[in-house]
Amino acid sequence: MRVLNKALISGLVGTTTYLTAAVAMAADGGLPQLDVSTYSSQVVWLVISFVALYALMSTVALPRIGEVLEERQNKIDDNLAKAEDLKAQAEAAASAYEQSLASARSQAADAIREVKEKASTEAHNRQAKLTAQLSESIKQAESSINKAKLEALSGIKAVAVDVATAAVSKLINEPANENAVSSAVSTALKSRT
Amino acid sequence: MANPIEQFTIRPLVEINLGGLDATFTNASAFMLLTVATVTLFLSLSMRGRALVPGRWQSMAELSYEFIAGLLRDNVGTEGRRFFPFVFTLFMFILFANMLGLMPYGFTITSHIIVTFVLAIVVFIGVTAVGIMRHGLKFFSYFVPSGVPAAVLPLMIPIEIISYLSRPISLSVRLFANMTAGHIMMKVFAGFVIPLGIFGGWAPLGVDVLLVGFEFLVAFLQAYVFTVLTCLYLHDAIHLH
Amino acid sequence: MPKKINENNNSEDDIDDLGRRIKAARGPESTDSPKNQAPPPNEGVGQAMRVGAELLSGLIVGAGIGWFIDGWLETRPLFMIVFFFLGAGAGILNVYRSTGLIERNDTNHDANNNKNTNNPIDSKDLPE
Repeated sequence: MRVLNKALISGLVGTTTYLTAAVAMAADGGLPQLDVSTYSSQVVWLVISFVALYALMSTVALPRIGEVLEERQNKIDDNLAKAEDLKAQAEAAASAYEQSLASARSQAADAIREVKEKASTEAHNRQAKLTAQLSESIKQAESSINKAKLEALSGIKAVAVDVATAAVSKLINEPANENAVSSAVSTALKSRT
Repeated sequence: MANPIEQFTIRPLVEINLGGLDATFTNASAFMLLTVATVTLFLSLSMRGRALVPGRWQSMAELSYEFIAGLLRDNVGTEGRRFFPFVFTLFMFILFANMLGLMPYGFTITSHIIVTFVLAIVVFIGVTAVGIMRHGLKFFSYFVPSGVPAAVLPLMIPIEIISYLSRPISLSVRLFANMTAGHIMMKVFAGFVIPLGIFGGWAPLGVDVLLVGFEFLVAFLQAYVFTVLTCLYLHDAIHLH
Repeated sequence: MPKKINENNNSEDDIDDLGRRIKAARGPESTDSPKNQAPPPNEGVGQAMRVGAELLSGLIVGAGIGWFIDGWLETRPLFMIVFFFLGAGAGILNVYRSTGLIERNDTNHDANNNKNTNNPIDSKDLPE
């Protein structure tokens, strides 16, 4: 509200200034501006000069300025477009570089993986072969050991039968029954092994 | 002490009579032609080089162009483009006329109410014509303000009409009064310098120096205000109805 | 490996920077909508003169119209008085409009330069 009144007051002040000034000057005896006899010539020459200026501006000055401004703007636009072009090219080059880098890297990774796989399968195979060989040898060894054990055992049995027969015959002063002695020795051997 | 009013008198230089129409070449006429010449010389000489990287003068010429173009664009939009030569001419004419009046022995053509009135009337009639040609009779809906209860309308519409009709008056009075008052003040203070002698004369001289500086600002400001209001009235005529 | 990644980022930064500079050089996008700029009111003497001109011209036009109608209808000084007051109202209206206190008679923009959308019902049309 206060601003409203301030505007109005300044308006009233201005108006009163104008009016008092006008009255004072009119009373002074003629403000030249109010001398109507001069009006005609002023209007005529005003129209002449304004029209002349308008013609000069619209045909000479303004087009010239407009052209220079437009030329400059075109040049700037051109340069900016070129800059954008180059920027796009740089981006394309950068992304191409990155792509080839990435593909090279993945290729290397693939190759490495292949080699690793191959190496590991080979190692696997060799290991399996070795294991098989070893178990073969072990089996053979076990069977020969068993054979030897059996042979030894049967040899032991014959010797034990002989010794037992001799001992028994000595003991009972009669020739021993071979079958009875051998079955007794087998039972005794069985309980020992 | 000098008479502060005397500086505005129109002095006939060459009597010319065009079949009953008084067209004598007066000091006012001379300064009108001088204004035209100065504007044209300024613009054409500054642009002579047409450099892509402008020098000082060319920058000023281009600045005035872009200043008015910007005013039109901001206040009227892109349809204002066709009025650009007129608005530009108007601004440069008033600006240089004001400035030339501040030169030593210069005459201020814009301190005459008839001159400012003709300029204002041309703008007013032109803008109204643009409005009517664009909108036909709907142009008069401008005088019916929106958001007003119907009972008040019989009061508001005449007030709106009077407000619209007062535009050329205010345009011309504003420019005329500013120029006249400024020059009267300068003359009055200048008139005090000699009578106050070698000791007292420095005060009014200092005031006058400040006044001249202030009047250059006013010269530009009044040209600007006249032009901006023209653009605003154009905007009203084109966009509102 | 990490070193290569850094190099990539630098070139990307440079490219982005270039893009930003290009955009800045193109300047702001020009819009089509006119911004209503009120002429500068500001300081004391200047405003008093401007505003005084508005008020005075309202009075002059009002009184002038009244004078003409009186001369036509021979009702002096009736219409002169009536129109003097109307002219005073118009002058006051001019003052308020030129100092931006009242929206100009504008259905498309308000005093704050906000573009109103073309709604058939505007908030200011609603009864207060």
